[in-house]
Amino acid sequence: MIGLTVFISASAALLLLLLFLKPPAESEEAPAGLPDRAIMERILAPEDARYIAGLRLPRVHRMFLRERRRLAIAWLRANRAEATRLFVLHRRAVRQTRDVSPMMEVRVACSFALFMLNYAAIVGLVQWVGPFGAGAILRWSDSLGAAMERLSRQLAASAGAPASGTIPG
Amino acid sequence: MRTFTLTVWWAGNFVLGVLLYRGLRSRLAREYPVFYGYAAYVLCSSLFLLRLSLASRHTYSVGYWVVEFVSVLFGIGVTWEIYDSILMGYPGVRRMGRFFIALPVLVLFVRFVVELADQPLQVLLPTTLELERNLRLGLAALLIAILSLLAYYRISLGRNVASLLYGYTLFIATTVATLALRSALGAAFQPWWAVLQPLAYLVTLGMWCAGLWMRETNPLPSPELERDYERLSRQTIAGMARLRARLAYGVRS
Repeated sequence: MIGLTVFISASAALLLLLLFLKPPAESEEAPAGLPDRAIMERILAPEDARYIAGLRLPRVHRMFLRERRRLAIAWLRANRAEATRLFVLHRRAVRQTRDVSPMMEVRVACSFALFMLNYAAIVGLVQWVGPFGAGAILRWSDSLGAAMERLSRQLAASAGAPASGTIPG
Repeated sequence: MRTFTLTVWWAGNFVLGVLLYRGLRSRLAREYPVFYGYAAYVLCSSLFLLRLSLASRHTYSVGYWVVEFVSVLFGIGVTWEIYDSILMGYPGVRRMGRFFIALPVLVLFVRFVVELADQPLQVLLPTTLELERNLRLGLAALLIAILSLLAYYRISLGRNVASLLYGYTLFIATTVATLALRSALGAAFQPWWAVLQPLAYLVTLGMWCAGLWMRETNPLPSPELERDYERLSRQTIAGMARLRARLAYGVRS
């Protein structure tokens, strides 16, 4: 049964590759430019959120959050487009290079995969808890990380330091 | 069923004849000698098998599997010719191709050695059907590696080589699936096999005939400056890391 699955999977993989193999579009390589960080700072401005919350109009508040979520995701997508363009340019440039190293290519592909993983996690977080909630979670995870790092440094320092009361020699 | 088989057989031979004629007229036979050699072999073997079918069933059966085995060997040559023709102007992708093609070969070799360690050699000897199925699976693995490289490095294909690749991939995909099902289900699958296999073959011949009707040159990549690969790759990795940090920083701010 496993053997049959291998053969059918190979056959399906071939047909799928044929279906998804499309001619390269040169327009994808046109630089769109990175969106300014200040735009995201403006989207997530706490004073805007405070002002809208102060109005005590739930419908307006919901609209505001929906709009800010949409804008935040658009900003994130623009960054993803830039990463994709960079990756496409790399692959285009190395096609004709003689000294390509498979290991280096795997590293480049992994760095892109890592970016996409981060992107998916952050977009998921923004969709789930909204851009303000996502920001709060990321700040919290930062402070948690910093606390863990301090703790591990302290533990390392105490383990490395000579214990008091040991008899020398 | 017999009428269907005969119709497909004659239609296949007719299209093969047209394909060979067009190959000679358009001088494509010089550009793809292994492929046209394969097409000529298939046409001759088809007529040879017709002659054998008039003799005993056993003689035909032996002849059929011998013809199929040689056809698989030709298939390896055709796959190599497609690979060579597509990646002519891309030395970097060729290098990656050698690496990715070596991987499935290595996996199959390791599997063979592991199985040999456990069982006596006689148990490993497959039937003719299994042997053809396994060889076709090897070809499928090679084609998967080639198609993945084309998709990853976004390589443009000319009409001729695209029809060669697409047609052959379709043929191998259907052959691997039908041979595996024939081997697993036995005689119950025979009527389906008798229909699916010739039909897939006929569709493949149609694709080849349409795509190889006239000669079209393969699009060559624009000559680019030789770059420092190591530096370029490090810059890409650093760029990705900066963009990654930017994502989190943007939402955190």
